[in-house]
Amino acid sequence: MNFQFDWPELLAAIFAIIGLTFALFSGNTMILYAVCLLTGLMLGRLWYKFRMSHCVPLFFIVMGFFLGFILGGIFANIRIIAILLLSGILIGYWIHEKKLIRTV
Amino acid sequence: MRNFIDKLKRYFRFSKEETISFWIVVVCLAFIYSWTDWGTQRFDAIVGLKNFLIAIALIGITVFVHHAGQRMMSLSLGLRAEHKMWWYGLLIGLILVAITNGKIKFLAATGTLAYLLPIHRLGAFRYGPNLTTLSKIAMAGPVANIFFSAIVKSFEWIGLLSPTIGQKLFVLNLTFAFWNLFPIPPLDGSKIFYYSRLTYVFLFTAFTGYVALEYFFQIYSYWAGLFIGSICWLLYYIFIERKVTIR
Repeated sequence: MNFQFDWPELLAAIFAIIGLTFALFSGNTMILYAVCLLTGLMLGRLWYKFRMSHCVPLFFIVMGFFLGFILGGIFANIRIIAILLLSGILIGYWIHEKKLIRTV
Repeated sequence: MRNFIDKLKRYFRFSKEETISFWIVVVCLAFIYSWTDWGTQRFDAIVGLKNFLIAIALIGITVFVHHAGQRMMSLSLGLRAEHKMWWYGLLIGLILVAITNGKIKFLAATGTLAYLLPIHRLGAFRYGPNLTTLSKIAMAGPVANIFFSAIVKSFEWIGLLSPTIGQKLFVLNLTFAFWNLFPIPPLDGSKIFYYSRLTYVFLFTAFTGYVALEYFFQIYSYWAGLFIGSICWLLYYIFIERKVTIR
């Protein structure tokens, strides 16, 4: 494996593990959905920051996280997880684009 | 001194944007802080709301002390500090507290920027803002929290403050200072770390030493903390920093 060229895949794998950990450690479904939405908001900000330069690696990261999260949260409704993650990403992107939140 | 008081009157106030950020940070951190206080056996909304309001007051005081320390230090150096919310910090805190069920309460969600006040910086050695001034400003926040916690404890001991509130505020200030000393940008620790690793090691170990002495032996001593920090500083210099410098 060449880290210089394969770093997006490696990052996606790391995020898959993070997603799996998050889902496994969430005590119940409500917490799982809340964590999913919050992570979506974080990914939305990342998307906004790297919208001009690193869209493809970010897509891999989102997919990796999603995969890990649904594997860990197999007991929950996968459709709701997908909708919450996607809406979190869109809300995160939108509030940064509209400059509703100024942050460091 | 008159010059400093004048600067405080002119520049200390929070801007509208900073005030909004301050309240968002306070409410989110209060939610994180009061995560485990929403009922003992089962979820209790009334008890939870009461604890949440108390947490808002405690976190508000703590964050204000931190910001005030940095603003006063920056004004004394001829700069103006601006506090911005750290969006990632808030989300990381919320996620961590949710998945650990309140075992890890990450309480760091602000970053500090410093702007030059040209007229107040005239004649200063190295006119522009630099790493040294930035690190001094960053250091002032956690140090203000540590001093404030000592004042709170003293008030508690002489009976001016109830032990419950006093202990909570004391621990909260130390916890807030601890998280803010982490070398993650844009937290205060990162600015001190970029300025000088040795200073960072000294400050961080002195602080952890002070807290450890309090927690394990109930010894409240700044001198002991500074002594531990000095030992760690020396060890870090001998075993790591000197080798890096020689190379």
